[in-house]
Amino acid sequence: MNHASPRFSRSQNLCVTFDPASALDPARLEARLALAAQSAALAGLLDQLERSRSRLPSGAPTAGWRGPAQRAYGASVRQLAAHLDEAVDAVRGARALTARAVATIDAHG
Amino acid sequence: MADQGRPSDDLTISGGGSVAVASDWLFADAGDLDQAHHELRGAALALAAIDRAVGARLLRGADAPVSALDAEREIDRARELVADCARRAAAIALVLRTAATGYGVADDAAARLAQQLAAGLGYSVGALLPLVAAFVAPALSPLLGGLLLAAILAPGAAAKAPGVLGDWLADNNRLLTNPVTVALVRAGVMSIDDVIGGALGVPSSVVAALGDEGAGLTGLGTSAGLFTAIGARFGLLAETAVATRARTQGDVSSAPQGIAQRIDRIPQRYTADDGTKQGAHVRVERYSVPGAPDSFAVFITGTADFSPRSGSEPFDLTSNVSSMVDLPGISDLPSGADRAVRQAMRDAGVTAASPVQFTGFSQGGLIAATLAASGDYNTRGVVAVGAPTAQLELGAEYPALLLEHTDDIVPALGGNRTDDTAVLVQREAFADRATPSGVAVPSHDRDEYRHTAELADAARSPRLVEAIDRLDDFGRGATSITSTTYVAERVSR
Repeated sequence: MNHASPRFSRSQNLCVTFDPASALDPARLEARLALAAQSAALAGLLDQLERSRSRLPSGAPTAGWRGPAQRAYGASVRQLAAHLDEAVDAVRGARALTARAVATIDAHG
Repeated sequence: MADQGRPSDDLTISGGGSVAVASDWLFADAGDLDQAHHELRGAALALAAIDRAVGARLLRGADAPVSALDAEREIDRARELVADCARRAAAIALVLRTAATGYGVADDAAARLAQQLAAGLGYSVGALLPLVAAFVAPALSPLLGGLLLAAILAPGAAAKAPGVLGDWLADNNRLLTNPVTVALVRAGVMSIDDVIGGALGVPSSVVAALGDEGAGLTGLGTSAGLFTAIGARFGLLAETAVATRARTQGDVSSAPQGIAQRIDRIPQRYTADDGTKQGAHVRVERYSVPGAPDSFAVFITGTADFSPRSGSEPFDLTSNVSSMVDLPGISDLPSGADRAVRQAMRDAGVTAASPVQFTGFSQGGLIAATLAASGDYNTRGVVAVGAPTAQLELGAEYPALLLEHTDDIVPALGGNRTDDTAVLVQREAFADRATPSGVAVPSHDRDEYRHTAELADAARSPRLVEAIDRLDDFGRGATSITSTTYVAERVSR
């Protein structure tokens, strides 16, 4: 596997910093950039899903509606909420795995 | 046990071009679920796009760590779950709407059936009236004689008889403040023409064919016309000329926002301690926007005099009945209250082209809806509060909002609703609490309606929110608002 030379740059406070991404071969660099973008996209999506989850109706009985039909409706809404919780967890998991993959690539070069 | 203090806050929403009838929260839940459906469908598409951007080939080619491939699998799973949630949200919203539509259709069918039954019963009662009169007439002479003797011996007590009835109703107001009574009143109002047809001996098939259940040629309007014609023989329910004058004028800082603020601006007419009439009948607000024609908001008070004999007060029982008359040749003159409002509008500068919005309480609501639907004005919205507007057809081109209490008999006097264009907001004002003593119809109280209006302003049903937004748009951006109040009086017999 070809390893490009690590690049060093001078920051404003004259410290020399190391950019691990630039140390990778093109294929790994492409994968790393794609995974970083994926992580950012998943973070945005996670916020959106959590907002959608918070706006779901509670399905709780009200003074004007009780009985079997209300219970069926309440159960449907709670089931939907549970599924969405699972989906949110899956996105959160995907984001964590993506971050881990980026960190692994950075660590191993 | 009834709670003395807590008002029942459940709103029922219907109309707005739909047959669906349900509580505000049901429509709000359906709206939230629709929103969730759209958001989740978008999220599922976004996950699919993320999945495509980082394919397994790219990761394998780059010898990416296992966690990257695990992330791809988790994204796949998340996409399927989110897509499933989107489908579920849409399905639950559909079920809610279907239930609301089903309820609305069943409610409508029940109302039609009740109307037919009431019409049949009314016809039978009318047909039996001569027979009943024949039996009752012999008993009337001693009864009337006794009453006359009592009036001679105790004149004060006889004079107080109507007041005694009013006092009894005020102390037993649960009888009137009741959805069942309201439904009976509504059915009764719709079958008056059938009673008259039966009493006159018109064949039942003809009465049914001409009435509300058939061609709709006779009904509430013709009944009101007959009452006016009969009343005129006894000097009752007689229309007169009306004169209107400006009473006060002032600047207003902003146009009303929401329904409660509109109710606050409806003027009130009342009798002061010294017996004089105070307050105003009509309030006209003129909204000026640079570069645009002035627009106007008209606020109309309710009935101020319940006597069937016309006095100086134009917002009286005569106007109530005249407003409903739909019988050629009988009371071709619009009601005194109607003419008073038109005069006030003309004085304020309202023309046929001026954008105008109407708000009224009780009889004022009926006048507001009548003027809005008349085609004589450039109507941009109407709010009728506790008004018998059911037989009016309002236009779909402007927002129309009706507030009614299901335990208030006044809106029921308008009969059964004939169109579903307007958004109808209903609440049972005294569902969970005791009625206050000393008031005959507490559910018709203006403050009760103001509370309903506050609930409507805070409601989340999409149809209601849209209607209120459209009403509120009317006065936005006005740089100058002038308010003029008007007082009207009947000037001759």
